[in-house]
Amino acid sequence: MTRGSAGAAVLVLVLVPPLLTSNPFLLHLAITVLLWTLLGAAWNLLGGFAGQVSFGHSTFFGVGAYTTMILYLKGGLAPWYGMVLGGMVAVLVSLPIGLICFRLRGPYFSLSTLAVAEIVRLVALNWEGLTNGPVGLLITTLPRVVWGGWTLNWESKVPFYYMIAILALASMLATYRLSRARLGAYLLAIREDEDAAESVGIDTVRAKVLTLALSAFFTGLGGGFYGLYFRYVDPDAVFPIALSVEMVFIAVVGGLATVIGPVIGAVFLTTIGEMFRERFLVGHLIFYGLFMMLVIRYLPEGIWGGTRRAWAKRP
Amino acid sequence: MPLLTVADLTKDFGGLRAVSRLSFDAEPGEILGLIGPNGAGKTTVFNLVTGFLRPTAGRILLAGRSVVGLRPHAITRRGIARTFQVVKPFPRLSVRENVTLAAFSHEAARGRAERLAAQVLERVGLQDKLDSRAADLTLGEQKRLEIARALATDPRLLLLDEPMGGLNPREVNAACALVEQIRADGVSVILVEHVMKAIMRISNRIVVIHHGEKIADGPPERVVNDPGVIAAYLGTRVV
Amino acid sequence: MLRVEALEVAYGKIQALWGISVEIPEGQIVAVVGANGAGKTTMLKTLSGLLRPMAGRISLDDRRIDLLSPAEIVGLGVVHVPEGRKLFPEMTVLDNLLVGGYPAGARSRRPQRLEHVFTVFPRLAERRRQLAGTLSGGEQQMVAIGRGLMAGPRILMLDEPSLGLAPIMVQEMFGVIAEINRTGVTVLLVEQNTEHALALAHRGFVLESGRVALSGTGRELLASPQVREAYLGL
Repeated sequence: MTRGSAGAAVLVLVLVPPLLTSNPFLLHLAITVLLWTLLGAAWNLLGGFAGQVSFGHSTFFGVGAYTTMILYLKGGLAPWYGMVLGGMVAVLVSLPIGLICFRLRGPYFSLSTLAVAEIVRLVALNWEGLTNGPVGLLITTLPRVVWGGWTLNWESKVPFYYMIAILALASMLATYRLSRARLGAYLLAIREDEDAAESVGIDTVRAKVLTLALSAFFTGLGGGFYGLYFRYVDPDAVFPIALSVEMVFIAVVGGLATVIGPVIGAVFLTTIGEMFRERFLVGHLIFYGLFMMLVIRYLPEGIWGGTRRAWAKRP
Repeated sequence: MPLLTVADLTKDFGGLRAVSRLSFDAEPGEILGLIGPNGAGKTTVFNLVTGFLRPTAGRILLAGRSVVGLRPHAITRRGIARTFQVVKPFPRLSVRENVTLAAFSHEAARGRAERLAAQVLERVGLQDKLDSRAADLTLGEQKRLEIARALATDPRLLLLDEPMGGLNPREVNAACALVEQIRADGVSVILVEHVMKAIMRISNRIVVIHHGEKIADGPPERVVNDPGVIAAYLGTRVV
Repeated sequence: MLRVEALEVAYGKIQALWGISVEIPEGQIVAVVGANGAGKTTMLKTLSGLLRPMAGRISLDDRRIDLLSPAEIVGLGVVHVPEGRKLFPEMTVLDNLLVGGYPAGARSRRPQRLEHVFTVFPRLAERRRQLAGTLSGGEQQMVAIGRGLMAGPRILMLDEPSLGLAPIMVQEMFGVIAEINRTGVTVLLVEQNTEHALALAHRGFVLESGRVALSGTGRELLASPQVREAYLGL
């Protein structure tokens, strides 16, 4: 399968579903999968390629969500523009975070990102002037959009579907481009041995900061979309540790440093989420941990990575 | 002008003075041997020169320009490359990719960088292992890979940290020939080593460090017969 | 005392040892030399139970040991001092040595053995409270060998004890090994420092690509033209 035909297949697979069904539950499921794909792919850039395991990506998600909501509710800026700005604010936030956390390596780095995420959540909870604190922010009506003579129907899931589909595709394209670029190769070197990477002339700080910014941007976009789609945002919805863990789960289970991995991981996560949501509210975290351990032990390259390898080995 | 000047170099770790007012030069076109007992500070000197550690005091100049305060990647780009005492390959990447990454430091296009990497790997004799995983190589091959990776950054000065450790005498001979070839190609070398046969054979000059201080500096025959050096490092005979 | 018969060992699909048969007589120093990747460390790891052979047998005094666990093998007096020292760097010299005396059989004799180790290595007695990671390479090697001695070995298997040591330390190390052998411990010595190892050993054999290429007394091998050319670089 050539690059072009694979790309076309993906495009078709993604854009077709709303034409096949108008069942709102199925579309909602598809939207969920695509949102998780976006988030998993975003995390994968830093965690899969560069090997920097962040447990605090909810920071960027929440920043993106809140930026979008605040700019719309208090400034009247349409949420699709707010989404992009949300991504950019996430990038800005990622710079000081990188400055502090990248001084640490391995598990210490991971713990520091976790700490930052918690701090940000508490700030959002308490800075009521900006965020409305625990009450949260609510969008009652989305702006009227008219194209030609045709008004966009916000009651339907379809416009949201296409929006998130485009974002998810963008993140996968970005992953693909990164994997072919020099920066992608540098990140793999950093993942293998950071000191050795420095010693062959790779500016590891610059590489990590750039990748974190890219990762934060896409995560922030996802947060903005969340606000736009669910229309309600509060600190526990957009800054919880569980969300950060789920992003790690998707990338690890799906396949680190791959383009398709996050899709598979997202499907898994959503399926499991649906199965467990009714029964255990918090218990699903335990299940994620268990599943991740199994994958790491028996299928360390994730489902997609393992499949690729098995395919390559066939007689 | 010397290629590398180290002047009054000092490094303290809390209360421990690891390197003490060390001064020496490395001239262009020479192999400088750096020897001394374990814990004398040799690897610390390498770490200071390549930017992995910051000096407490003193100067480090490459062709007259200070490199103190630069990060390791910048120092590599200025022309100082190194190997590590315990080999640090990129284990899950191929031999070819290991060296291509280094070639990127001065060759932006992937195609050209890969060709350059292949050339360097041929020089060290790893041309048949291009697609092997670095982790799967033997120790001797990994040491050669490390040298190839350093050479691919097109250095003026190459710092080798115990490249012969773990090699048997025949492999040591091959490694010596390689280092001499590197010198012949115009790259100066500073060689930390315990295998005296190698140091004696290929060094133009030897600097001896003990407790972070220089205790001898001169041609091999003179240094090796210096009573202080014999007492501190060599014992009674040189194998 | 230790007999190896037709040993075949593989790492997954890659075979490292092909039908190795050797005998290590009691009370002697036996040297194993050869190129990198020839299988020397693999052989030691199989003898100490860290690797399982695919075929062949290993016997200690006619008792089969290749099916035992590494801990059981240590209990029988076969002690492996691995390559690269592998100390516990954040523990003191004393604690590192005491850990060596942990196995149930050795614990009762721990205090005497500790005294013995400090006699063999006086420098360690001076540094007993120092963190092992802060010692020089030669001192660390002493701790590694001392730790091995704490288990009260009948046979001590050393993997590259001279690696990374200054020449003066190398001489001291080999002196210590000779001393240990004189107290009755059999020594199996894997070394890249071919000349020193063969000069010291009673017997030796040369491994090449996982097979025994040559064997003989230390002196015979040192004089053999093949060894001189291939391994002594002469």
